[in-house]
Amino acid sequence: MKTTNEINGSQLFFIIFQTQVGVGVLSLPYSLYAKAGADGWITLLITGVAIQLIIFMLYFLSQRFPTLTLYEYAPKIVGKYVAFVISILYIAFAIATAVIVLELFETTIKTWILFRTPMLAILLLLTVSGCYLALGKIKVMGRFYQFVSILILPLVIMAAYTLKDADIRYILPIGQSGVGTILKATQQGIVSMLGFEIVLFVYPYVQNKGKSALKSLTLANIAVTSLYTFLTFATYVFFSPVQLQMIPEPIVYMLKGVSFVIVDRVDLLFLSIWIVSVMTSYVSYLYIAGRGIQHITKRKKATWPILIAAIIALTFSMFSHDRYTVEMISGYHAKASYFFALGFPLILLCFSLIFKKKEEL
Amino acid sequence: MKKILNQLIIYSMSVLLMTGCWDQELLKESKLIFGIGYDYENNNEIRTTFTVRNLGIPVSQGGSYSNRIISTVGSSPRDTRLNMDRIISKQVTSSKLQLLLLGNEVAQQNIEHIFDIMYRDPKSPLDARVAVVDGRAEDMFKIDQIEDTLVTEFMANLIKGAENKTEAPRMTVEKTFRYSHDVGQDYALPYLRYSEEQGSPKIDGLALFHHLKYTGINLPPMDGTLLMLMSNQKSKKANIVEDLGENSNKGYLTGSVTINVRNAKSDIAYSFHNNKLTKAVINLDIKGNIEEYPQNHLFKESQVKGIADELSEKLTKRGNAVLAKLQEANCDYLGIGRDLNAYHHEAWHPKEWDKEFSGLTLEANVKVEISETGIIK
Repeated sequence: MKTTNEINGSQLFFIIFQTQVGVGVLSLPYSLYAKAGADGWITLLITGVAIQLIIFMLYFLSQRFPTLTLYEYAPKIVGKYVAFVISILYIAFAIATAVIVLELFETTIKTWILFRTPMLAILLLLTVSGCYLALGKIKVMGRFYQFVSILILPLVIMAAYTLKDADIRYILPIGQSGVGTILKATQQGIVSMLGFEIVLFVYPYVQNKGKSALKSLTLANIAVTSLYTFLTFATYVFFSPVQLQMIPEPIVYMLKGVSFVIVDRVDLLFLSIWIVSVMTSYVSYLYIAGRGIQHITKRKKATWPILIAAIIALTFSMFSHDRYTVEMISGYHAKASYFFALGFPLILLCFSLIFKKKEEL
Repeated sequence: MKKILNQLIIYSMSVLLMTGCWDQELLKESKLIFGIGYDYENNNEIRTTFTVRNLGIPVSQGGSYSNRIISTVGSSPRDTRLNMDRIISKQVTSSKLQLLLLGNEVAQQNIEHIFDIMYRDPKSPLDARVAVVDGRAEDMFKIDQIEDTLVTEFMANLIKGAENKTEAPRMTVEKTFRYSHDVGQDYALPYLRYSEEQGSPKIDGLALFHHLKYTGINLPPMDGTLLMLMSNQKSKKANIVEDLGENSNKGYLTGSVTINVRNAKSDIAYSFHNNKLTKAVINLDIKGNIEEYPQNHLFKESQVKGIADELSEKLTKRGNAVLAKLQEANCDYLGIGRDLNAYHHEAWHPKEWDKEFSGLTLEANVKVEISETGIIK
């Protein structure tokens, strides 16, 4: 059987879903609480709506050039030179995201599980397995994402189990922080739910384009929004308010107190599953960066470009970092990500509409 | 061929990355702490008593369980742990800790000082039980063994037993963390006392806490049960023994009746004045079975109802006494503050809650219903 280079609707769904679910999920309840208080989980619902709007925009842009990736159609809209700059920026952004994923992964693993293991070993774990996956065809990636998505189920069950100790009064009254604050915190939510922009790079490989692709995108957004809202909600009813200000990774902390007869440390189980989700996000960004490098260097195969992207990401993530520097860097990255998930695609869409640039089929 | 070679390289590289080498912790090379007790020493120092399990010959091969009890002094719990590491030969880990005891004196200081290492360490056991000891925790652990049972296990089982009988709430390190930082809700820990008569520790009610400090006020076991019923915390079992007084003890030593609570539902009614809570009435409905009533046989329904009414009256009185004690201790065990925040937000003033709570009118209203009388009438 020959593996084609096409993905079907459900694989598109899982690619978007797994790219979105990633390293941010652990600290999301904490960072949302800092912004919106006990109403942080409502913020996430609103974020879901906001992301849906962005997804529509990305979809319309991709639909104008159904067989091309962003790297390929950008020159047709804004000309060779500007497109070159945009491509470089996207590559840099994807590598920067990969670096942040690696760094957050490393600090989390180091603080929670492997205290004495050298940094390089932990980073290589992710890099080697990630490269191996990214080097394959997009279909392989899609199938793998689809396959590992079953792991989300135990994750949800574990979080649901803690609801037996929940106190709903911690989040009541709903809306106590005020509409303004809740809306303002949406920024925080969008940052942690980034990843949908990968659609700009995988859309040409989708078998059934058009409405059914949009359906996959929407479903992925709904799935991510509900998963994040649920996990955040579970921590908000579990911890008393002051605790949420103290615990940077509430979900893991919450599961640390749970123990069964056979499994004593449920948090380790959770983190092991979480690693897979981190890996998939990492692979997606490696893919974006690799494809970009392949395009601007006009190579036939993406093997070396992806390896080069991985090596650059690994080198940068090797710089010594602690919790606070990582937080600072991801703060800058969050601001930049608006341009890449929203700004540039919107500009490209506007230009292509104004100058009536469209792929001739 | 090239593909196979590539795969081989990747596989062999991943073998090199097996991480067990750095972070392995072998059981045979470590010692497990099962119980920790904290006491206050003079000069602002803390004495920590550790019970460390000796893992010698397994019991199945004729060995026996034994503890080593080590007590060290230091400026903080971590300091005492480091001091203990200097005494003990192997690597010590507290990840299997079962019981954490606070001496009476140390509990009246800020307990955050003690618990910080528990909250901060990723390997700390959040589900270890916490209790307060009458006197010093050190003395409890020094008992070492009660017949065949090691004292740590004995006390941990005592506490778990009390949890099942609704005599103590399930207070683990995690729960203590949760409530000790909550403005709107306080908590209580099981209180252990050394019984001279039995030569072993026993559960002696609840120690009431306010925020991070033990208030020094206790509730006896039966009142603890009533308090837990009032806050809807009935566990597997709950018993209430009550003396019905003179009209039923003709010819008997006492006029007591024991009921087994099948169902308890509590509900708090609040009254407000000018956006301020003035009164809270705790309505507790208990449905139970008679477990012991030697004085009379209950042939008629009216007799059962008579007992139920009398019980209601007595328990209401007792409930009011419990509430008065809560107010004296300023321990908002029922989470009235949380209720206010959640359901009557305009009347919630977190900064003045301490003062408001002790000035409240709290009233208990217990209603008992008896449905069964065992297998005789």
